[in-house]
Amino acid sequence: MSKVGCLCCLYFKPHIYVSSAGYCSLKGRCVFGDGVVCGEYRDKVIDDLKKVLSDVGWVYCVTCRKTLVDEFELEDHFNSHDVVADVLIDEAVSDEAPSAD
Amino acid sequence: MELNEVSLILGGAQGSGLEASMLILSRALAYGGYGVIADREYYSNITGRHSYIHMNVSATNIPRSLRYPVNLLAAMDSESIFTHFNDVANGGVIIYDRGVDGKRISDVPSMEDALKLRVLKHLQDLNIESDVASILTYLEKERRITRVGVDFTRWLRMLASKFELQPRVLSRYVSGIIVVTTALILGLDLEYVKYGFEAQFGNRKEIVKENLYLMDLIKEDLNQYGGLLQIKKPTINSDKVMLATGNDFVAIGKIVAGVRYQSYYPITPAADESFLLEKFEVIEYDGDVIGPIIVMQTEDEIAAITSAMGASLTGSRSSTATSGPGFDLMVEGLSWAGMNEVPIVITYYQRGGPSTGQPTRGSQSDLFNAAFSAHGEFARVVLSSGDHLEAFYDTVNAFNIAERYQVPVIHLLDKFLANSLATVPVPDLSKVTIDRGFTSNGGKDYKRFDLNHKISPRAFLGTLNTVMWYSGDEHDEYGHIVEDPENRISMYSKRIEKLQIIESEVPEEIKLRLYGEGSPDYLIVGWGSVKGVALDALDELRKAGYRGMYLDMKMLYPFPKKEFLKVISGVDPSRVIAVEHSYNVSISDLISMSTNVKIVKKVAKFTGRPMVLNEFVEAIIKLLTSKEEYKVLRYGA
Ligand SMILES: [Zn+2]
Repeated sequence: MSKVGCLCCLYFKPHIYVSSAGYCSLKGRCVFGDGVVCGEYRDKVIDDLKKVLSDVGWVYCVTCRKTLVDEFELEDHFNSHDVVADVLIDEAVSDEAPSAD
Repeated sequence: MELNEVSLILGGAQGSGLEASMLILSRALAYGGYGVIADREYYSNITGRHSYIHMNVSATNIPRSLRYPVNLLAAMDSESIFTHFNDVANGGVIIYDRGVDGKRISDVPSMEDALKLRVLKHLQDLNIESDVASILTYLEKERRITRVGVDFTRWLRMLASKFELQPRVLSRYVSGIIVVTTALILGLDLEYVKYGFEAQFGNRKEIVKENLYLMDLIKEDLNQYGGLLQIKKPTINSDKVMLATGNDFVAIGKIVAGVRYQSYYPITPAADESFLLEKFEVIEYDGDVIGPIIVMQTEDEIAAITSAMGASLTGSRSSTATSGPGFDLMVEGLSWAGMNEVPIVITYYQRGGPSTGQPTRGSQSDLFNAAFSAHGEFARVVLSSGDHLEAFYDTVNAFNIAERYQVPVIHLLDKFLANSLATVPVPDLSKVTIDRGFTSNGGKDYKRFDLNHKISPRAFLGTLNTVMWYSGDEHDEYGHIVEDPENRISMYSKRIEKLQIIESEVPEEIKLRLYGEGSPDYLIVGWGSVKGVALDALDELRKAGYRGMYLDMKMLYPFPKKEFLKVISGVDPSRVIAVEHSYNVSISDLISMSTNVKIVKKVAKFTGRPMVLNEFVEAIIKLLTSKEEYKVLRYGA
């Protein structure tokens, strides 16, 4: 990934659609991902994501806008896509998504 | 040059704030006195896939149809540019996020492969690289399209430096950016936009305030683009308009009609109607509570129709709303309603089938399903509506017909009408009448199915000292099960022969409407939501020297033969064209079986996207000037 700053931090939870902004799960507030990182920065490595996958059952690919649910998928997406441990769902989703199929 | 009319597309990921953008912008425009129609095109996978709003805004009239090319594309992501760049008119404008400049089409996994290949092929033909910047440069050079690159992140960051932002509501600001930028380019008074924010976010004052702060930032940064596509000051002559979807208008129609029970099982594109009704379960008027309207989400569509029939038998105006797959489940119940002469309204919003098909796309392919499904023979009525306002009046008409003739009425609409948002003149309530038909106070010897009348007097379940029997079986005048052949003939015929009474009694304006100039040299025949595009096409074709009429078939079953034949009598059959959002253009078969008139020229569209003006006009001209008989329309992503 060529991205810099919080975007590569394990604790950064990007907004589902505005992925340059999001939520820092350590600081508990809105952050912009491309800024200067703080002392708590932790590089997002695939083993962290594998752990999240095994604990939670899914990780999220921002590039593909979808959840990844197994390790093969994770490995497939990790190198060229923006895969994150968690994603911030916007409140608008409930108004904007069709209510049924 | 100032524009009378502007077409635009707002594109982005579903769930990312497009819906709010459409609502804020439409509210701003309506408040400013403009006419608006906005179609929502979205995938059925709920969120993440490419969605877009296709709008037509007019300063001079209330728009009836959509058109390509558009003057403005507001792209929230690169996929919107790849998907729609070719839909933008020469001299148009593209608003986009500068952050996606370097994106290549291969970087967009959410795009379907077939579309990617088509776009790649097109780019290859044009000799352009498949990245956003190359496409925009080409458009700027070759097609005078102005690119307005905006920096979403920068504005959001500035906003965050001033306010404590909740990251969970970021889309509210993205919507704000899209709306304000669009409004600036159209040269709208930003007071209208302020109204749009206030109307949309209501009591969430902080979101309104933050968006107004953003508005000032954007105004300063994009000053040079102000009025780039200046729309004229509105001159629409209508003192009051409503901004609502077709689903909303049907729900409002049901409230006005006095519905007391509505059932539903959630299904696209019908569910929004029931959701609106749920908000008005208790209505207060002049200090009195009217109703309540019971809105019941049942476990499935079988329960939806049967519970509505039960409610109807107690005397409540009752209805259910669904789309194709749900209606299929209701069919046994429909037959029961036929047998027991139950007045019930089924609002049927067509979508793309068969099976799950294209759940969030439009269609008019269920005409025969509505008219002929269910076992046995019995009277039913199928009504359709051409636009939002008609949908309101027809909803009331549907209940009146259902109760007057004691039959199930299917009000056949479609996704385009259901989901599109439009400015519509406020319905004139003085035109609304309520007809509850032949009712009875029952009593000791009450016969629910009294054969002395073609339409028996209807007493309600629960009426004092009154007994009646309902079952699915053939019955005598009291409702008792009997299989006597003579009784069968009387009862069976009585139920079916209501069709003749309906055909002769229902007023002509409910059956069909004719638009355009007399002694036409061509006639378009259609029903439902094709009305808007057909009427706009008449105007366009007039400019090209064609004199046409549009026949809007509103009552589809029983088919109004006499009135139809009167209309068609002076027209050269080879100059009649049937139009429908289906493959088969079933209206022509319905006409043929009802009247022996054979319409061979047809315009069909079954991509799930609505017919738009440019392709419609081209198809009509082609059919009028060549030996071709069948045109399939395919425009729209
Ligand atoms: Zn991916």
